[in-house]
Amino acid sequence: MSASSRIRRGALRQALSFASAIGLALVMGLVMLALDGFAPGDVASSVFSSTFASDFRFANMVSRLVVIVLVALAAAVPFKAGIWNIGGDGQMTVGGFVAAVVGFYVTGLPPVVHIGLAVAAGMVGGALWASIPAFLRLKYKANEIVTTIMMNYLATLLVGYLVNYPFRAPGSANAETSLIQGTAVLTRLVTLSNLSAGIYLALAAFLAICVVDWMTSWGYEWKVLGANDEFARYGGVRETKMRFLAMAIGGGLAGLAGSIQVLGMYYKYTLGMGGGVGFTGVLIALIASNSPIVILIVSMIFAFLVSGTVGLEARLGLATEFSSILQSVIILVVITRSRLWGAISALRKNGNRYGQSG
Amino acid sequence: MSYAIETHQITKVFGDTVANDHIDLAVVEGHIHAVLGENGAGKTTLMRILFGEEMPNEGEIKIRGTPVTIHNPAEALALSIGFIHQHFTLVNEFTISQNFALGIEPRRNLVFCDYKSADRRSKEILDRLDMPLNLHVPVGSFSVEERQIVEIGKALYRGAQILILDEPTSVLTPQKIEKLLNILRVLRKEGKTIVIITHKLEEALAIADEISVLRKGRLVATLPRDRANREKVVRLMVGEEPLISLTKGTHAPGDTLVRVENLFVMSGGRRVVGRVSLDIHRGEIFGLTGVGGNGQTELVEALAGMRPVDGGDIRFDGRSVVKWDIRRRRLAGMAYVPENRVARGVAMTLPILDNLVLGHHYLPGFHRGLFLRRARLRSHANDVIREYEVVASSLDINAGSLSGGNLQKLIIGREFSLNTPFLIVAYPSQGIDIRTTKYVHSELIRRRDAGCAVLLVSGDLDEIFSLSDRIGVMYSGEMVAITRPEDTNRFELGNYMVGSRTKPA
Repeated sequence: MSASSRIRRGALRQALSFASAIGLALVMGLVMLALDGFAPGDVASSVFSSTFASDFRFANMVSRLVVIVLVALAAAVPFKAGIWNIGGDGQMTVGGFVAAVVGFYVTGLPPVVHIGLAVAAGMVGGALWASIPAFLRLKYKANEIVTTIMMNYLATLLVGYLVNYPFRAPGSANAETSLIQGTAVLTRLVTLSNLSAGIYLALAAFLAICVVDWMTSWGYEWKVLGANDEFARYGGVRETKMRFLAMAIGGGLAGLAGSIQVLGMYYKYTLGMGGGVGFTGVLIALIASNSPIVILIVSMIFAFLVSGTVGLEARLGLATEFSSILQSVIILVVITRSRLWGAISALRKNGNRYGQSG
Repeated sequence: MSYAIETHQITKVFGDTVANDHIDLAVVEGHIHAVLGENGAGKTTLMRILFGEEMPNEGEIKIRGTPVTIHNPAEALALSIGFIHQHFTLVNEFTISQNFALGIEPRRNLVFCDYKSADRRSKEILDRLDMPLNLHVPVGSFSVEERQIVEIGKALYRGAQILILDEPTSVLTPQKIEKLLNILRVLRKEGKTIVIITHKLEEALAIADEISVLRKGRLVATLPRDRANREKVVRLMVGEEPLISLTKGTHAPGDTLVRVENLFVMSGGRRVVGRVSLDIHRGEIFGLTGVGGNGQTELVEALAGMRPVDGGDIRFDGRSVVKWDIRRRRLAGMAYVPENRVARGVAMTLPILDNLVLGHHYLPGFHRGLFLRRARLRSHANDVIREYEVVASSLDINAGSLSGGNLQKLIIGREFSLNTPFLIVAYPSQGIDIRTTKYVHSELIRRRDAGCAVLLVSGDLDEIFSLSDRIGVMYSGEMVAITRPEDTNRFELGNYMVGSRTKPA
């Protein structure tokens, strides 16, 4: 009885400190804005009207959420297994491009099959792109933090070349592919918004990751690997295989995010469409300690913030950078919070230990 | 005779274990004093107390006749005590002088480090030791023995008159050992007092003026060199009491389950296991013993599949398993209680449940394809907790919150409960109380009687004697003897452990 209630109290304390950290960051944001001459009331109302006020705005916020959750999971699954994936952007780029190519060049398929094929191709593209640094790490011990970041640049440059030259839409002034076939389009769910049927794919992926995480030997072995890889090896966990798998799944999730953007929003691959959201994914995975449910919640907060501050730009003429500043403040507060709690509880524990030994 | 160090009734307790039990040690000024004993006899603890790294629970220390309390290494240094650790404490990127003078750099104009004068003093010290080492390269580029000399030099630079060396020769080749002993003789001539901790009898006899022997936390004797000889010291190290045999059924071994043939293992360019062959039968406990660091660890890791093999063969039930990974060996029927329990045996940040089911989770009955049968794993974990009396309020709290003894029980319970035909158990009584030790021992015998082949690794001769059906002794990577408990005695085993291949007369 005491143990389970202690755990519940712990979770409650976590949630409370988390919520208070976000609240504190929001208050800090409002104060900053007030100092800049914006009335808090105006700010609140314009944030509300750009997020929850209409179906259209709400749908746009949800479409942001879809991408953010996927890239956060793309980072979290490898993190959990003790291998770093900072390459969500590159995997998303490659996945999106591959989906666009399959969406345009393959013709004559029924819609469901065509979409399935393009999405599968995008996921495989992302997975293969992630496999390269995974291979380099697991075979040659090349630091994957470095290599995944390098692979981001490589992806931008390679896909940049491809959409500028071989795959450029004929007659287009921009670096982009031709529009995909109608059979590959993910249906728009709300008129004019960015929200497409891709949300169902993302939901399926999210649920699949939850199931893998909670109920399968993969999720268990990843967790043990991430906690103590020597213990994992000793217990018969196949480290190379499991870490490779985690990285490939991470790449596949980022590829899915890119595919959904291409097939459901832009209908083509256009250079720079990811906009660096991969790093947001890394941050969310870290803040959420790789737990899928917490990732969903934190992603919601981020999607709300991004949409809200975009609205502030449009309505109050606020600088675009403000959104990034507010996000950074939140991250700082949240991370400091866990450090602070850690330091406090460590102090307490040590105090007890010394107390006991006299 | 004046004493450099005197300890009076020093006692140190860690949890349930008494590491030092009322020790009265006296080290004569200007002598080399060897402290001998098996692993876990309490040598290192005693020296750490002298260097201020541990505080004793009881007793007092006198340095050059003056009672002192040493709270930390800085105070020990102020009393001119230097400690050369087994693991070097050098900054590899720094030069010799930078290491020597670290934290006490000579100053020029109050601001700049005056490495020129540090270099001069360093060179002087190295010349005394007859070690002309390059002063301008980082110490990381030196060999192991050179770095050890640098460690000694560092203590001298800081004014040490009393030098404590913890197992200084364990990383050295025989020629380098001779060189080190010569340096110690030079230092003795200069009037330094030297305490050398070792488990190598030959070295102690070669160099020491007095030899103290520790056994199970007690100082059993201090002998002057001229009254010490090999036989006498071995007897002191292993003790005189007759070895008690546990009541166990007669040895009825079945066929061979595990066969090791000419096994050869290299590590860091050194041969750590050489030409070892042994058989373990079903229904037999094979006790492997030896002084720590003589290849037992590496042999066990090779058997378990955690260390690559450089030659020879391991057969399990007739099949060669050398190329199998740990999972395959575990699936084939192996369980393994590792020596390094905290690093290898648990994940402190995971719940007890997760720690109890590793290695079970891919066995038949505990999964359906990729899906774990979580209810079964949980009820199994509950059974282990109950049977092995792991005191934990819940399966969901982190393993890191368990006490040391409970962690040991968790690991032993997890591996024993696999009920495998082959069981490797390294140092089973390490860190557990007497009651649990008794339980573990009776479990080992029960498993043996049920037909399990058990490899028991231990440095505790009582444990080896009372449990083993056959005993193998390793020295310097080789199996120097395989015998039966009824055919041998403490003294003979002690001799094998210090490297004697033949039966003493």
